[in-house]
Amino acid sequence: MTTMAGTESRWTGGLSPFGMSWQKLMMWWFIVTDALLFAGFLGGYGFSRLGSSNWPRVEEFFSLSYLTVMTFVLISSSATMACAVAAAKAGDRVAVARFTGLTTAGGILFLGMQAYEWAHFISAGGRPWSNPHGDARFGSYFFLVTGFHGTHVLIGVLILFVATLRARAGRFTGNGIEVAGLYWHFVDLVWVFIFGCFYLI
Amino acid sequence: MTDEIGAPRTPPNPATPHYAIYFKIWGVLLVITLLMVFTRNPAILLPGMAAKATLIALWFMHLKDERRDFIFYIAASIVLLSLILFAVIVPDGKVM
Repeated sequence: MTTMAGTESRWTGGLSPFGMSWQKLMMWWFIVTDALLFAGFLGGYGFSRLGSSNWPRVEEFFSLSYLTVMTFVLISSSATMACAVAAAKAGDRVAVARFTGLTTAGGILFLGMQAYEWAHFISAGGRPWSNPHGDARFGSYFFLVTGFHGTHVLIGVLILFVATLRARAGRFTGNGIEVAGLYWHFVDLVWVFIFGCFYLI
Repeated sequence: MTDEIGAPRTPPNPATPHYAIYFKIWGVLLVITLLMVFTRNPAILLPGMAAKATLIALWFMHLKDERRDFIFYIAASIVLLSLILFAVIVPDGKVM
């Protein structure tokens, strides 16, 4: 066993490297690898875009206002998730259930808006292999990157839905909610770069 | 609450949690987002994205409360490798 005092010192093979639970540490390592996956996607996107002479102007077929609302929804759900973690640390069961429930609702709303965005682009002729607005590779990157991100959101929604049910039943841990929160904030963090690189630059 | 194997056995803090800081960060994130959307200037967009990511990582993900060596591992692995990717490889797209 490692004592609490032992967890504060440099890790020497005890049970709590870096003074944190193994679940939290594993989630951080997952986040590192997943962040580099998305960095690779966006790097490929930037590489292709710089070498293209007919890259599409996204504002001609996407509504920036609509995308800003999507971003607002995701940022807001991240704030409620941070509150859920604070409530879980304090052992406030009702607040945990309320905040994880709100975060889940935010995730579902974001997914619905994402589905509408996809339907809009598909109805405008966008395909993973072609794009009537310019360079065909834009369609490939759009569906690949937003699809991967949307899948992350969907997984997060499922995790948070279960967390909400468990919190309502009083079966939660501060550590468990914190690890779920790390994942959800990462999903929000990735969207910062997708929104910036795909729609604003 | 139940205990979990491997989790630090810290008792729940009975004090009322403070949510205000998270809503302040939320407000700052929204202001930066609106600034980015309305200007669409790369001089605003790149620092804006970096600022938002930093705020989310430090406050929402509580990275600022972790040990310094851990913060270094996370920052070095993600930021350094991403910088190499975007500063060294991506610009080659221009000449391809």
